[in-house]
Amino acid sequence: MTFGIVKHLKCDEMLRLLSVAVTLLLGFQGSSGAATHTASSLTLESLLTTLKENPSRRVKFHESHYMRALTRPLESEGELAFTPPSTLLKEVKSPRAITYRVEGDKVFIDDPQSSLKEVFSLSDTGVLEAFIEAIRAPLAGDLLTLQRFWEPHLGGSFKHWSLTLIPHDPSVKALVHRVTVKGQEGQILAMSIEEANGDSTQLIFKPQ
Amino acid sequence: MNLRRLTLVWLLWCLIAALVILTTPRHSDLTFFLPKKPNVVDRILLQQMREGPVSRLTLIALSGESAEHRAEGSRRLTLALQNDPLFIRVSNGEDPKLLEQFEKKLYPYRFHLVDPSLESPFEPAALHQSLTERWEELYSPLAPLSQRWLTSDPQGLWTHLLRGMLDQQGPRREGGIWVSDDHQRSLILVETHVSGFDLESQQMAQEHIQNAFKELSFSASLKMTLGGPGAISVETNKNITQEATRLTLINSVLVMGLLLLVYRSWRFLGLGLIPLVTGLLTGGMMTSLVFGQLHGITFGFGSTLLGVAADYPNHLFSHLERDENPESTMNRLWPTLRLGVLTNVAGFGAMLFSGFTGLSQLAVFAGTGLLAAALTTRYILPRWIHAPPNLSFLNQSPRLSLSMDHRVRRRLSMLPWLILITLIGGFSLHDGVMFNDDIAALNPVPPQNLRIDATLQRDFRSPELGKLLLVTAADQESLLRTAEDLEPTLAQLKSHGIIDQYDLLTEILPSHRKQALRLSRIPPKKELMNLVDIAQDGLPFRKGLFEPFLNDAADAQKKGFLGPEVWAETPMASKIATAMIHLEDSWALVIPLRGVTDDASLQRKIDALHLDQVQFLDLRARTTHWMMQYRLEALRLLGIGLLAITLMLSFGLGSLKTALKVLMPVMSAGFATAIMMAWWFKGLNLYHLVSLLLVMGLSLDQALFFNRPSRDTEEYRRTRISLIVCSLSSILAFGTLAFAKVAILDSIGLTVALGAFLAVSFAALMADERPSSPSSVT
Repeated sequence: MTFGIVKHLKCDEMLRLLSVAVTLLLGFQGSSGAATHTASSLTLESLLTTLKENPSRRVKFHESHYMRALTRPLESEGELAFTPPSTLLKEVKSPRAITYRVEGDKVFIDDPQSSLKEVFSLSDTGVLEAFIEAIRAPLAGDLLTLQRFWEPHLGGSFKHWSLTLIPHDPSVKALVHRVTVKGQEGQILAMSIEEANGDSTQLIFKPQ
Repeated sequence: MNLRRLTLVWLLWCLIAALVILTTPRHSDLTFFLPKKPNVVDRILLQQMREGPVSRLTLIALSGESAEHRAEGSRRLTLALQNDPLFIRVSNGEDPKLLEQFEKKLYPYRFHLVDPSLESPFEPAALHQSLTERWEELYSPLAPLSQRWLTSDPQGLWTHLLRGMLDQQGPRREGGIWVSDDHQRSLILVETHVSGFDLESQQMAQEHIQNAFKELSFSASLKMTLGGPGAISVETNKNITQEATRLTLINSVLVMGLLLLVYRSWRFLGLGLIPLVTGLLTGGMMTSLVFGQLHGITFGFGSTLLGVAADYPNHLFSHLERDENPESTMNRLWPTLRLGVLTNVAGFGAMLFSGFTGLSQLAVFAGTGLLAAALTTRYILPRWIHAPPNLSFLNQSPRLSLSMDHRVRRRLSMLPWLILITLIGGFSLHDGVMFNDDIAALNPVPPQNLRIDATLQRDFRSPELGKLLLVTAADQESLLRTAEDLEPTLAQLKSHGIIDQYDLLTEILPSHRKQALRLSRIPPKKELMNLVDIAQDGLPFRKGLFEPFLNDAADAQKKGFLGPEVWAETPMASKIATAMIHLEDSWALVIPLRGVTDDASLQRKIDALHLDQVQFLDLRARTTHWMMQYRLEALRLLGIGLLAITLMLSFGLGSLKTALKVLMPVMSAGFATAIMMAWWFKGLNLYHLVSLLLVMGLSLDQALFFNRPSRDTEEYRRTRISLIVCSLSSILAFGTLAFAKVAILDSIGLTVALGAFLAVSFAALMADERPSSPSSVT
């Protein structure tokens, strides 16, 4: 007898991964980034437009996962890459190599060290459905859908902005308190995910 | 007795017989082939085959349509079947509650169940190593799982146990559900309450599955295939029944056509069936009464053997003359008929004393059946006849062999011997195999069904029940201890590549001795707390984080031992129930072995342990052994039967010489048929042997009539006609079966058809060439 152990990841690990996805997709979206937005007033619409026009398809990340059980965070580094229309790759390089790939609604995990290779479909995991919509909405340039799943709070100036997303869906809320994205004009610099259990994850991005 | 009363008695007899047969439990499993007093090993093997884990599974595969549709179909069908009380378990691989279920029931027993991987697991160094592993695991994709059990199980016992269960291969998965290796089929596993050999319940289970599938009204291109022993036996039963019905219909028409042509009377056609029907009912009733059960195989084979009785009325009908009372005709024929019946019964009589239930049942069935048929023919049939049939061939039939030249006949009588010698020579020159004892040869499952099933079994990675170790002991505890003592040897065999895998129940059900040992190593709570504190040094775990571990470890020692009941309602329950078998006064444990590459080395290793209670068994070899024993017994009894027949014939015919004269064509026809069939089917199996018994019975009867002195040419001719009619009907009836697509039917059909042909030919060739009163030759 066996059971798909990855199914049990849905609750937090996948959510963390997808939080990164949803945010980055905001920035990665769109391909023709010719014009530079020079708007002085900061609105959600203008920010999304700017992010669309500044596509960075591959970034380095440094992740710090703070857990209540631990006296110091779990640190990891690697690269995130986006291939239109909907493939997101998270390659963790240190301390150990693990690859996560979100392709459409399929998630692939490859952990050479424990020779774990699994594929599963997002639509199978109930809680994440809201999350998938949250990814698809901005992909479609659909601000309304984004707002249906998240309550956005925009702060700071266009030079140094901060976008806080608070989930509407109770099942997502039970796991994630908020996702905060920080940036400078068209560039996303950092992101933090605060989990409901008190753990949190900080991500710092560096474009290549 | 007047006719009316006689008819009434006969009717009552048949009615009672039918009632007895209908109320007697029917069996259809391998008990037929087992000795009356099977030893422990055979009993366990039989139990495994009948009720083993594999026998209760039905495998469902959905094919066609897109992967998404198949997955959706799999989910909906699984859900529908899960609500059906007929099934213990229905799974398509998705079982979100399974982990929770295991955790709830067994997490508290992790200290009983698992040996920490380290030598002295509660030393600070060992604990430190465990904690370092947990810390590293937090970086893996499975971190959430480790996190879940981090504080209460820092030794990782639980994940170790889960992984052990995970390692047991299941089908491949796609999107969480089971699929075939080529991803073209989605798979569902259904476990029924009943054995795969319980045909009726299996049939019902399958109807439930088919109905559930139909009710979900999927698109027409989504196809469902069923596999597993239950599905296969239901399907096979259906095939055999259909095939047998179809062929019986054809051969009934042929045989009836022949008899109508000969007797030109529907009445005689009907009367001809009466002895056979009476014989079948009586045989069935007697077997039921003597054994308290009637095996399906007994009924099938017994009916075949009773085929001899179909000849009895023919002898009577063809000898009826217009100016003779039917009862007088019967009286005239009776000595010959009686001798034929008695010799046949004597032949079966030897089987009565067989050590095998099946053979004794067959003896009772065929013996009493033949007697009843003969008595019906003798005492009842003549009284129901008002006028003799108008034999169509009698007057315009050619002179048969009467006018044949004396020398030609003499030469022709050598022909059977020539044929036999040629056959024996050719057979031995080509190294022919006389017997095939592989039980698979008896498998009536058509090859294409076997192929479908094999594919499904492969997809499901089902355990093959081929080779196993069998442990026996007086009680459960010693049983489990012995199994644990075997573990090092098994591990060694595995590392040497002699076996690929073994499945030891003690992984999930350790002996009390082992559980006590594991618990005894847990230090007192205070001491363990200090040990953990020391072990934590240098690692980023918060102080006091492992409090739940300290509590659980202390609680574990207070808990009782883990027994099979803890696994109740989990999928492991059926595994325990099938691996550990309670016999009347002892216990047995089955350790399935997979991928055994070297039986001899394995056997040597096991022998070297000098454990009387451990045996290595090869199921296939064992069943082949059963078959061989069975066949040897059948042949031995046949020998004794022949001796009895010879004695009886010598007595009945007045001399050994005459007896041998009758027996010669019988023996040579039987032997020639046996060789040809062995050559054609690459070895004789039980079906052939039973068919040969019938051939011998038929030909003995015919040889007796051939050698019966006729009072005049008229009678001589009538005898010939009756014999030709008998042989032709046997050849037609069984010859049709030879065209069956089901192995069992075509084996029996071809053997009997060929045998009947050879028997009548040999008997005719070897018999006295002229009637005893040559004066009346025209």
